[in-house]
Amino acid sequence: MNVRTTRIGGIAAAAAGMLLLSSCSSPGAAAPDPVEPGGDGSTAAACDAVQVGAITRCENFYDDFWPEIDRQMDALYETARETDGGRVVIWDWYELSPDVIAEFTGRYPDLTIETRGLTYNLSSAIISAKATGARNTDVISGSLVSAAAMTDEGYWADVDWTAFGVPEEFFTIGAPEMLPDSVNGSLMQVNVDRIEAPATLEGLLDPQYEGKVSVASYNANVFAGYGLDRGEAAMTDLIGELKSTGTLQVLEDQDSPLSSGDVPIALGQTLFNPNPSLGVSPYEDAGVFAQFSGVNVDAKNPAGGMLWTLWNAYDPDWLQLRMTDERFSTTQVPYPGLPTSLFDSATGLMETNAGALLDGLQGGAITETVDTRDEWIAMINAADAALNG
Amino acid sequence: MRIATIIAGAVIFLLLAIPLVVQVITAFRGPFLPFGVSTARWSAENFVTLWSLREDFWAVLGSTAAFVGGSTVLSLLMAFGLAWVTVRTDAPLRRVISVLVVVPFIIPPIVKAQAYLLMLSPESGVLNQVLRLLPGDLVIDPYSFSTMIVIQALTNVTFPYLMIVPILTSMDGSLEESARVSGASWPQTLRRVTLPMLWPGLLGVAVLTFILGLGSLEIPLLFGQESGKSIFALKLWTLISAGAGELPQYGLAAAWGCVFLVITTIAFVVYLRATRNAERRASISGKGFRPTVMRLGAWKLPVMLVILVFVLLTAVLPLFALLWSAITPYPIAFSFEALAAQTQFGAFGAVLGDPEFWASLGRTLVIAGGSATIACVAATVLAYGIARSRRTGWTRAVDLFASSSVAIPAVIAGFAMFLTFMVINPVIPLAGTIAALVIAYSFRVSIAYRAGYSATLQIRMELEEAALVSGASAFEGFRRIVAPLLAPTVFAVWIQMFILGTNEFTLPAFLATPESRPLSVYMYAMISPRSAQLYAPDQGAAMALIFTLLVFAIGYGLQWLVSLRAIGRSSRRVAVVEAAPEALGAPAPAETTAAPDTRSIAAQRVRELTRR
Repeated sequence: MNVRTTRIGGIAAAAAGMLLLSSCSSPGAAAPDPVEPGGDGSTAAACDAVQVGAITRCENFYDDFWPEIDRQMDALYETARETDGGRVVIWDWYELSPDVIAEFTGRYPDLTIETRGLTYNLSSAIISAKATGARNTDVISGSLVSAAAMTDEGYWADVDWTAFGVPEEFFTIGAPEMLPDSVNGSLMQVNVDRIEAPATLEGLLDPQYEGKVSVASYNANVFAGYGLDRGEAAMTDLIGELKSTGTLQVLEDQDSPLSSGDVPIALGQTLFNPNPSLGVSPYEDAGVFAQFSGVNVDAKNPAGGMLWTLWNAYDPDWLQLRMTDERFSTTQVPYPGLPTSLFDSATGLMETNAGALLDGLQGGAITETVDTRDEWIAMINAADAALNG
Repeated sequence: MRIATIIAGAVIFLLLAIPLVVQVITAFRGPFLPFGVSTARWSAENFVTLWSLREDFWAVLGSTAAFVGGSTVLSLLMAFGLAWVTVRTDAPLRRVISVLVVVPFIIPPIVKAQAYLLMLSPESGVLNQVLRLLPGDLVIDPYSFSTMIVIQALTNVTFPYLMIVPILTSMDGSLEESARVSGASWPQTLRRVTLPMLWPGLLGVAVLTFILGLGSLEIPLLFGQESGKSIFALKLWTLISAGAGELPQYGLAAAWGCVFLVITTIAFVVYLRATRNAERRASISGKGFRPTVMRLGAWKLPVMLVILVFVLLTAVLPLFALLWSAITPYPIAFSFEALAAQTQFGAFGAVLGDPEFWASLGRTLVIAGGSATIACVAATVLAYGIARSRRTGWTRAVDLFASSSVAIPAVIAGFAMFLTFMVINPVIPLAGTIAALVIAYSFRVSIAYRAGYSATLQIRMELEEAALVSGASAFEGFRRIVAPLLAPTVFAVWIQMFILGTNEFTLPAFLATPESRPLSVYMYAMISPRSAQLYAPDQGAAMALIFTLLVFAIGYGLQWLVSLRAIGRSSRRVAVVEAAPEALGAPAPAETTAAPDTRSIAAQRVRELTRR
């Protein structure tokens, strides 16, 4: 190599170094302007309240609250279509299917949706995007526990949803900026042709369940409710016993052996498999948690994020489709604060899932709240350690 | 030419060095991202944590060594046996066998892993149902560590097979014939002549297969959640998945990655030292050699039975499991009753009508083709420059560096690239794009580099010297003399890298978004219940079958084109020999093999240049 070659090599190395150093700076996205409601969005209507476990249901939601929300959504659409070229970025736990996106853009045709499904890495992806200046999601979502990192880092934009017409009774278990949009919880998925599920986790210790129960390594939270009720030691002992007796298997794909009957009980959440032999049932000490959506402080199209959030959570036409159309049966069960008539209309897989979760809530399932969030996190991590080592 | 070499070297440097530097920085800069977050600061905390977890570390090391080592040994044994049968014996249907062995290479590993999972289900799996028909009540536990080793070995056989075949093909059989004439039996000949001659090549194959296995996530992910949770690839994957209320531990994962990179680098250097004098064992005479063909005689039937079992296990049953999954609406056990009542073929139509299938298929071809092209072009140019340079410390260092990506397991490369694209995003916003995937897939540049380097050494310098004397520039000499001679090797490597790229899963698992994902990731989304709204296992299986057929057709179509080109070239050579035999000094056409063919083309090029 001659001097010229060495010099060129040096320049290349220096350029690479500068490239790296340039990335040391934190770009810091400009905070979006807050989106205010058009006019006074709050409504004088009173919630016709019914308790469903820890959640307050407003039976008159669609009669007295929805018209104002709908009006506000029209105004949000006008703003959203003018912002960032009408692009709305939605990163969620699960990737939105093209059919879901088509329903939204069918109503709001000037908007374009980009979606990603990030499951447990949703929070880290959002925080990473802000740190590295990438186009971030406009919408953030999750349960109190799964969104904890985003909450602690201040990623939920300060949106007063009641000013957009949402009843204040919907904000009793979360925070004001977190719009409750659905419900989920721990359930036993069962192949009823093969076995009958017990009513408790301890019931699984019966020898008939040996080798018949599965859990996913990332789903230790199915034991956390038991831990909160009976104590951490009892929970870790139970997990240890289920594993040592060969009852419990840790599987990445629980669904195939559940569906074929090889491992006929799966501890998890709602069911995504239409096999009619499958059912779900709540169990004693199972946790049930509300899920929330909101606007990312790093959003480029906050109005688009708000519009999606409200539409996905409450739009009656969309929810009716979710309850009755099999194409949408694997979407989340709507928030139980919505009227009973909505849940009564459910069919197929959605009926199965919604029925089990509402049964669990009404049966006194332990529910995540702001006050108990850190206890849940500690218990889930203890269960994770017992399950996965 | 020197500038081209420098540019190629810079491309390879950027491809390999920057991601590894970013990974090292991440290991020393905190629990999460190395830059842009409040927690990022210089410290050795991750290594301290790793040291405090040393019992865990030893468990990971032991488990990984057992899993990867065991599967590598099994893969090599099977690959060597198959290559031996197809190249060195008179077994019937050798061409069919060599095609069937390649089938598992085409199925994306994650889909193949899922197919094995379906096939091995204790009660409903086809294989276990078949085994139940046999005496002895034998049932395979799909989730045991030993099963995982066997499956990993079965899924990885094609790679060493494809590498061993040319080694066996190019080995001169005269030494074996001498041994046989001297009274040695076949086993003695194999042990005392064949294997000692082949071992440098086989060691290379073993090291590559080992590193390939070390970076594979698919089998540990689907089978090893309990028995294989200490396997390195799964450990790394787990560390970068966030726990409840926490952020992923990128820093600790990077520290793990650094330590394993040191281990694989040591293995790689040991391999390089062990094969340093490999040329002493070279047995290709250059003219008129041919491999010895062993007559199987009475062994023909047992050998064919073993191969039948192998083909059943690696091609027929996994494809059947996929087909069964594709024609049933949800996972159910195989039975004739279910076959009559519950099968349907709508999934194939749904896949063909799914725009995302075509979009991700297009992306797959762009990413695999683009990365193979970048890697082959840069590697060939650099390999030529280095092979033709005076041996100095600098060129040796560049040679070692350009060869080093084979020592980087895919799971570490994927993670390092993931970190890199996030870190450079403020300056070069590539994160999540197809370009990022093209760059990431190109990290296997060393495969092309080593092939290009060896091929260059086989071209005699006097051809280029003749071009220079005839007035051509160095670049023109390279373009018109060397490049055509290197083209068959480069194209063969391109096809190999292209097919590797089409079914790559580990790299895009770290890097892809829905806008950039290749088909392997889309297929996984369809067969994984974690995908919720996208979960459609029947369509995922149908997609895998369609994709396998497509890649098979593309791969063999390209091979066919190469063959046609070679035949055309051979015809031109015969014409040249007839026209100017004095210029070539070529032996009789019937005796020529690849080397004289090469010389004839080169001579023709030199004459063309001379005329100018």
